Parts: sequence; structure tokens; C-alpha cells
Amino acid sequence: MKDLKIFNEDDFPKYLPKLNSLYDDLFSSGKGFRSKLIQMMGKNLRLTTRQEHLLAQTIEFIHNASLLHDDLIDRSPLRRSKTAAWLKYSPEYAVLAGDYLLARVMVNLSRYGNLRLIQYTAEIISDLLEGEWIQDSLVRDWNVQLMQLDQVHDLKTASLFKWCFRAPFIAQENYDERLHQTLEEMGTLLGLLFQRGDDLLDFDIRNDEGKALLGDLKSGYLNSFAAFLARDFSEMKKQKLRGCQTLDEVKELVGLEAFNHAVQEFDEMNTQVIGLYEHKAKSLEEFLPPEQRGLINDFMGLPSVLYFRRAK
Amino acid sequence: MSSEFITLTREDPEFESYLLGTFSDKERAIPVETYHAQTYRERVTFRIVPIDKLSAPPWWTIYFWSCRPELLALTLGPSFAAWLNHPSSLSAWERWPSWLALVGIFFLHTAAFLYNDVQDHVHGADRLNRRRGSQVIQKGWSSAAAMKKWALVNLGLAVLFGLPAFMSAPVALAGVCLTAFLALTVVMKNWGSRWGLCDLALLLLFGPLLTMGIALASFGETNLQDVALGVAFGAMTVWVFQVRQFEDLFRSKPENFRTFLGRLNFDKARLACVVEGFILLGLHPSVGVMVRVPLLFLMILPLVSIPSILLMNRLFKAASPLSSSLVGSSRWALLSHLAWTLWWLAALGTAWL
Repeated sequence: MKDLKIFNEDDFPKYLPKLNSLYDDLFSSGKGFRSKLIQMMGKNLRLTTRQEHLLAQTIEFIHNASLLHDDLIDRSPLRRSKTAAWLKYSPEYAVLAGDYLLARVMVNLSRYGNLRLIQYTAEIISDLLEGEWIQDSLVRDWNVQLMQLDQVHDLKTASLFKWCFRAPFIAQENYDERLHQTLEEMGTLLGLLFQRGDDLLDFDIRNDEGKALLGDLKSGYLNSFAAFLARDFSEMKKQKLRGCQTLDEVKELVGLEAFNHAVQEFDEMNTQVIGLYEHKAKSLEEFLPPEQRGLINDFMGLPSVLYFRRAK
Repeated sequence: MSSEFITLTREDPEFESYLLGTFSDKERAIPVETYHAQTYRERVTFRIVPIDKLSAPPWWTIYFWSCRPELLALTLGPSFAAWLNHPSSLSAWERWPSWLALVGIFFLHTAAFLYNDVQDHVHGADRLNRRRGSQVIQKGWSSAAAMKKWALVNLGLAVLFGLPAFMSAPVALAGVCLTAFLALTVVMKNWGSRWGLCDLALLLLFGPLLTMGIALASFGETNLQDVALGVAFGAMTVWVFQVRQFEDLFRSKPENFRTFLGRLNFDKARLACVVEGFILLGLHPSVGVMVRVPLLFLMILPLVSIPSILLMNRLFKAASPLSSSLVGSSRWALLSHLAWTLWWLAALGTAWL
């Protein structure tokens, strides 16, 4: 799937100092798989180029706004192996640049004129912010459990997947309630799987993209796999886990066999989630006309890419 | 893999039969996912499992867990306390209505919580939160329809055992029953829950109405001390329920909007729970002085207060409704209730020795 150009310098005023270079840094290195999801939807639903571009830009703007704010909240020095915007420019600029992207989303959608799309997008942004807010309260909470993290990830991560699935139908003015409900549920499950797959990268599981290891743990955050791994740990063992600086230290603490067993159990648990996701994807046949049913096949391939990180 | 699932909405004609477990004799529908519970848009995905593959425990184990033994102190605690609060009726100790009243309360407790499990399953509360209820239905050990039948059997037993005791003071007990019925209606209909009316009704049901009812059924008389004891126990039980609501503040958002605590924001709800904890720490000794518990028992009060204080600390430390310090708070609340119940039973029981 070809890369869509999300950011164009002409989209933003040139008289604002540093804004364009900040966005240039931000958008130049992302994988943009949310916009690729939109392209996948667009291909099957036969969206117009304008619709596809608007939706892809919207989701990437929202996602990148959240990254700008996230990095500042977490005091994270790096974003995609480059200096984070709040450090390279200033915290004030990072906040304002994030806010500006969200404002731009509303301007673009208002111009398009689909009121339901505007309303739904605003709801998703609210969910995202709620998730950010709650997640911040869980930093240095070393007893947090997977169930609680799932609820945060539903707001913070899955909300954008739900949007990617539903917004193209809304843009086409297809408001079938049961279709949207099914897509919403699929988005929830896929968001959960994506986040859990992403959290495994922290522990060098299927980390082909070379993500920095133990990033979450070092910044005081127990991610979903860490919470799963530590679910039966004593207080003392949890204390030791939070002090681990390398993956070898974690494996030594847990024991290599126990670590591998935990990964296997985690995968088995998520395979059940994939089963549920596939059940929902198949049920879409009821709602989609024959020419759009290719979407079901595309949907079926997503967990493999997003959880098991297999290249498509 | 995916063929074992079925997703149904409230509008589907089979929805209720899957929810109640009456759709098949050989299979059970285990709810794995619920969306929009308690609305007309409700959708539930069930996993269909053959009953012989469920490895359910024997029926008596299921019955034991369905009785909610961890909640027995909420009903039997005030009942025993009211019973022990009448040492002057020592001669009535051997009167069978007094024993029958307690057995009746046990069956009433079981019937109420079995029915509550069914209701929470049907309405979605126990499907959304896997820490709520006995989870007997959600694990597929029993169908909701079978649980409902068991609730009726237990209610019948409660009436059977309670009726002879009822004859001890039929007129006064009729008044207690009528008030209890009204309070129960308030709770079931959720009337005025936003202003705490439901909580007040629960306080009456698990407090004064229970203690007065038991005293009347056992000894044909009641007094102001029974009422005071009832208030102490009822307030404690309401705290247990409120702590559970607070623990679930995030998970069951729509449900919580209709409760007193759910109306408050997180910070105010947390403060309310902690303040109520402090009030209880003062209420129990005050009632203890009123019913003249021995001085020794007043002196060991700091020890009895430990679970409550630890729970208040956990609540106070919670940075958000998803904080780990909140996980298991309702179990701590039950432990606090149990500590106070044992204290009361020991303090009142010494008068019988």
C-alpha cells in the first residue's frame, strides 16, 4: 500500500515560527499504519480520493497530537529515535502544536460538512484524552492489573481503531446501527491486540522494528505484558522488577523458562481474543453488499499484522 | 475457532433464552463480552460450551458459593447481635421460634443473593465485572434459570422457618415486613438513588428492620437498643456497598450514574467514602456505650478498627478509579464488617455467660 502524504506545509500558516519544521519532524518518520487502515477501508468501500485523504489526515493528526502531548506528559526524550518535540522546541510549542492539530481536524471536518462525522470524531478525541488522563494516574502504580490497563487502552488506543473502522462508513452516510456496533467492537478488540503486541516489543518479543527495550518499565509504567508477567509476584519481586535496567535482568529475575511460559500464555490468551475478533469480522457479511465484502478478508488479516507483527 | 461464538442483541428472540440458559439442555452459553448493558442496544457475545466439557464442581460446592458465604456477616451479623442483645430473655434461649428465626434469615439471605446474582446477570452488572457476584452463572456452572428456581426454593424455606417465628408478634412484625417491603421497593426501583434514598433504604433493610424483626420474632419484644444496633450494622453494610460502587466507579459508568456516589466526582466520592469510614469508627463505640458493652471491649476497639483504617488508607491513596489500591477494596470492606460483627457478638455474648 503506497504511503499517503499526510502533512503538507500549505496546510498550516507559514508565519507561525517553528510550526512547520516541528510537524515535518513529527510526520516524517511515523509508520502511518492508521492511515493505511483508512486506505484499506477506502479501497473496499470505494471512497473518493478526497474522502480518503480527509480521513487519513484526520486520524494521523489526532494520533500525532496525542504523541506530542504524551511525550511531554511522560517527559520522554525520544520519539521515533529522534529528539521529542518538547525538548527540541519547547514544552509550550509541543502543547500548542498538539492543540493546533486537533483544531485543524475540526476545521477540515467542518468543511466536509458531515455533522455525524464531526460528532463522532469529537467523541473519540474525548475518549483519547480520558485515557491519557487515567493513564497518567497509573504511572508508578506497580500493582496495576491487566484488566485495569485494558480499560485505559480501550480509551487511549482502541478509540482510534474504532474510528478507522467506522468513520469511512459515516463519511459514506451509512449509519446502520448494527454494522457500526460490530465495527466498534472489532475496533475495541483490535486496539487491545495492537497495544498488547506493542507492549511485547518492550520485552523484545517479535521486535523486528528494533524498538527500545523496557521503555515503559524504565519510565515507571507497568505495561500489559509486564502486568501479566508480574501478576503473581510478591511485593519484593515487584520491587526488583522495577529496578531492572536490562532485559537480561528481567529474565534472570523471572527465570528464562517462566518468562517464555508467560509469553506463551499471553499469546494463548490473545489468540482467544483474535477468535472473538474473527467471529465479529465474519458477522459483517450480513451488513455489507457483495462488492464491499473483500473488507472481511482484509479485516481477518489484521490481528496477524498488529499483534503477531507479521509483515503483510 | 470463531464458530463457537454467537452474538445476540436484546431484540433477538433467542436473547433471553441464551441469557437464562434455557436454549439447550446439552450446552451452556457463557457470556464473554457485553456492550451497552441495560439499554435497548445491548449486545452480548456468548461462547457456546457443551455442559460435559465445563468441569463444574459438585452441586453442593456451587450451592455453597451461591450462598455468598463472604456476605453472611451482613445479614446474620445483625441478626445474632439483636438476638444477643436480649440477655434478660435468657429463658427464651431454648424457645424454638428464636432458632427458627435465625434459620429463616439464613435462607432469606441465600434467596436474596441467589436472586441478586440472577438479576445482576440479566442486567449485565456481573457480566461487565468479573469480580462481582458469585460468578456461578458466568462460569457456566449453573444456568440463570436454575439459579432463579433455587432462589424460590430458598425463599420458600425462609417462609417455612420464618412463619412460626412470625407468630411471636404478628402485628408488630407485619409492620416491620411492610416497611421492609417499602424499603425493598425503593432499592429495586432505584428511587431517589441520586440523593441517597436507596442507601438509606439499604441501611434500614440491613439494619434496624433486621434487628427489630429478629428481636420481635425471637422474643416478642424490641427496644431502642435494637434500633441503635441496627443503625450501626446498617451503616456498616451501606459502607460496604458504597466502597464496592467506588471500586467499580469506572468500570460500570452508566450504572454508577444512578447511585449516590456515582453522582459525585471521583475526588468527592473518595472523600465521602473516607469520611463515612471515620463516622463508623465513632458510631460503633457510641452505640457500644449505649448498649453498655463491657469496658474491656471498648478498650480493644483500636484493634477492631484496623481493617477499616487500612481500607480508608487504600481509598485515600487511590489516584484514579483504576488505581491498584482500589482493587480488592470491597473485600477489605467485608473484612472490616466482619471485624466489627465479631466484636459485637463477643461484646454482647459475654452478657449471656
